[in-house]
Amino acid sequence: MRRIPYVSVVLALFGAFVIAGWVATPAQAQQTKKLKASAIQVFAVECDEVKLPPAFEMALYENLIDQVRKTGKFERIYRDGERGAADEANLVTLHSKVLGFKEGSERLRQVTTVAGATSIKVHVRIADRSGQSLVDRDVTGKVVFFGENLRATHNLAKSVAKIVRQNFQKEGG
Amino acid sequence: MTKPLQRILLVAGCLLACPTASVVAQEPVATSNVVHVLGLEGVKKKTKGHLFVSSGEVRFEAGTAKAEVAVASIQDIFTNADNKRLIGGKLGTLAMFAPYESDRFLSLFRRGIDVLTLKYRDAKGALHGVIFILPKGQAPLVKKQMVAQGAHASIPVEEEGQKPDTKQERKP
Repeated sequence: MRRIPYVSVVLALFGAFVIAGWVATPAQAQQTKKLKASAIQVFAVECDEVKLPPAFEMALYENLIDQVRKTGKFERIYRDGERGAADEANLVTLHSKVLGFKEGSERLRQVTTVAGATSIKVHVRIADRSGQSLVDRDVTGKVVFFGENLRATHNLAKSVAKIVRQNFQKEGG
Repeated sequence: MTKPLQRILLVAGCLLACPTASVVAQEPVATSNVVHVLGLEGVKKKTKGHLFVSSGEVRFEAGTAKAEVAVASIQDIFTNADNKRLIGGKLGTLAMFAPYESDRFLSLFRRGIDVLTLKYRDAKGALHGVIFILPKGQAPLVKKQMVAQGAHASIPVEEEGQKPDTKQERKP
């Protein structure tokens, strides 16, 4: 039986990898192309369908602003109703709609460790000036083991900030 | 002592007492042991301080840190009763390492608290939310003071504390 030389197998594999990489690179480059915007306006949390306690609603809104600011991707961050936002040329808007909410119990978590989790599910939409969606995602914030119930809003806002980091790059950066 | 002299002394006493009473009435009522959870600019989260409601503004003071909100700009006030672990903070964290799961046992001992949520718009029209934790029973009183000074509240103070229908809530 004739043996296939070891070197030729290695060379064939190497060639296959090179070709695969060459084919995949343009697609990946398109995927990693990030959006740019100089300002973002964070709108109040919509909770028409699912009742969210006012403390959670305001905590989520404030945490979203706080976490988006921490990303450092935008020069200016506007709140809901802020007048200066209308004059921004390159503005994106962040909308969040509550899809589900389950208020757990801090006492139950501390006593049992496994029960009493709090969770909030929100649909996050980042749109441009014309209203066209740039990012559409469902995000969940949870407190499973330690922390107050309101910490779920902080965790959710951190996840939204992660999405912002993945999809946006600083203007001029 | 004759009767006219007694009357003069009585009148003089009343005159002296009246300005003092008006000064007392103008003094802002402070609620102590208030924790700022989030929302106020210039004040760190979870800072303990005093909350004043006077002359058309809500003021939170914690040492050198101060923040004010105009009562007229408040769009809504919500109060909610909750509870918190009796032994919290650093001691509570240390209790996690205590033997025989005593941390879990200690978690059963809790104290009541009130959560006060404010929703307001600043001079630029921007929406803000502020959350405070107050000692039990204080939030409705503070809300009453704010409403008396012109703050708007969608739920009257009397109706607060009634639990909303949680059956309608959808699980994620």
